[in-house]
Amino acid sequence: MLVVGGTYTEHCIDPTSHRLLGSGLRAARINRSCLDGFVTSAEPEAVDQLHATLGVASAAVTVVPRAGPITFVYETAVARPASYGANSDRVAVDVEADDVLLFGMVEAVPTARARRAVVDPQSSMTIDHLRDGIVADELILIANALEVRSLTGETDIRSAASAMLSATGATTVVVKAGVLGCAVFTSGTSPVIVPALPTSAVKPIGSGDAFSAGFAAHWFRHGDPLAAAAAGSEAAACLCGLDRMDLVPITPILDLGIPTLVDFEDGPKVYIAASFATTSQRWLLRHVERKMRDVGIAAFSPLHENGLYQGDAVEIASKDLDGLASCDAVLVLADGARTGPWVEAGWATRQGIPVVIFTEDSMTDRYTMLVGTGSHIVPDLASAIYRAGWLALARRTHT
Amino acid sequence: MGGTGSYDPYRRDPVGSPGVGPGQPEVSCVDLVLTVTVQVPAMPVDDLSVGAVLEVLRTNVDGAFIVAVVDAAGRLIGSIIDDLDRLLPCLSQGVAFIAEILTIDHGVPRVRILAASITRVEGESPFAVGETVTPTVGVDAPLVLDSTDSSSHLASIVAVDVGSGSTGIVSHHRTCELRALMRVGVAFQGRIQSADTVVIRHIG
Repeated sequence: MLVVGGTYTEHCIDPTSHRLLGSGLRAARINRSCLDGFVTSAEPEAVDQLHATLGVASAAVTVVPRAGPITFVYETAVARPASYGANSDRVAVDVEADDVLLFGMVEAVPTARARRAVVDPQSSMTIDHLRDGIVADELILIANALEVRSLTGETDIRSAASAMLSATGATTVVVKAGVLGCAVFTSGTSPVIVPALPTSAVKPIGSGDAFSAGFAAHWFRHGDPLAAAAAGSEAAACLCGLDRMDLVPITPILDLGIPTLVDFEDGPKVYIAASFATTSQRWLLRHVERKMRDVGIAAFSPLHENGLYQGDAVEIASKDLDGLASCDAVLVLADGARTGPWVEAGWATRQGIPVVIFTEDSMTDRYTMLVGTGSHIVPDLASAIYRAGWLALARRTHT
Repeated sequence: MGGTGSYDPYRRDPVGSPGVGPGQPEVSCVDLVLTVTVQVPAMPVDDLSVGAVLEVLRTNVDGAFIVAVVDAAGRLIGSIIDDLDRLLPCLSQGVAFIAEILTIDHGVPRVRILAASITRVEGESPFAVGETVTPTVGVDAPLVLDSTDSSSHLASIVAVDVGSGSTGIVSHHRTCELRALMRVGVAFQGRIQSADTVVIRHIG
């Protein structure tokens, strides 16, 4: 397999991590046991790091020089990144090989001629690029739900996937949707949902790249897109759950059942139980709400749905509990919370709605009652969001 | 969001940033402390324990130069891919690093990397009491990485040999730190103190 894609510095501020990866290098590293070549772009100063990260000498590595580093900075592991250096000079990347896994790049619009190609356009390729720049006997496109909608202008997933199939000549379009897993659309057949593999810890940066890497390796070897989607989920779970790039079997922590396309349009609903008395609490609430939407969860934020307390306690409590009753799980942002979230957690527990407590407080003995009544105590933000989403999905699919 | 300038994560006010710098000061190699995950192979070494001290070195695995983590027996535990823009220059400058295992999750160690600094270590030795010995480190041979066979992870890096007859191997949990320093040229000399103990001291 030839992997084509970007090599970028990924810096996460909280929790701290700092790696030279990017979609291309990450996928090349994951697939290094079957890697024939890797084509990327990097500044000369980073080439040594690139090779040390890739860790394979048998593959031919082609590095197209670029002027300077490109860095993606994540304020948290669930934040959308800010990019630096992305406006530097464009470079040309053009490849030809039997089997190509190609990612959209910040500094290039890569083109390819291949017998089989898997393309993950990211947010940097257009439908025109995909149609005209990728010439392959068999083409599979992989994109997340946001990208599929953005590329086609369609709002529902089925229409967007259909538009991508017809506009690009692809045989299959795989739509990734965070906690839901992915939907595999192939011309002339009904879409098939392949659920995610829930893990207890989640480090989501690069999970989509890992999915595409695992998918491509399996499809190039066996030719079955559905089995390849399952392999993609395993690769994503390895990376997110274990921070491992060498694939190992994953045992999911939950039975999610099989989501439907309805879930893709109207995701599992999670109530965010939070206090919003301070700027930091409101910031965190917005941060969580946005990430939930990005990974396919329908977030219910009482601040945004019902507004601030204006003096009528009975009305606000009633509205919030009505909202809570409509949800499939609750995520409590516990640190610094006042009484409201705890009332909501207890109320949800009584109603049989799963509760996830996000707290960075190491004194977890203060949550004895919550643990004793089945709540999940999760010490990092990304894992807490995904856990709440998965519990909500499992509750929905099993009832 | 973002900027047109380059991003330096070790400055408080990165060029062109919206002010999201982590506020980490730039530190010298000997003061560098990194907490990172070791990228383990598909069949990882399974007898690691929290608190164990490993050696960090730039070495050749299957023809590729990686930043490897090896244990006292010379087994390849995995590789480092975090913070290489800081670690690689320091390794190139001849600074020796060790990795202390903080946690192990599903076979994946999380380690604290810091510069090796010991000046004295005790180890087991079969030599005669009173004998003075010079520790040496064997020449690196390429490590073999075969994800299907865990036994092939054994590296050809010998532990610290003592004595002119190369008949002894120091066995001690700080072997990795000693070996890391010797590998970069720090001189040590050992003296057999009792029937089974050698004391090795820095003689620089």
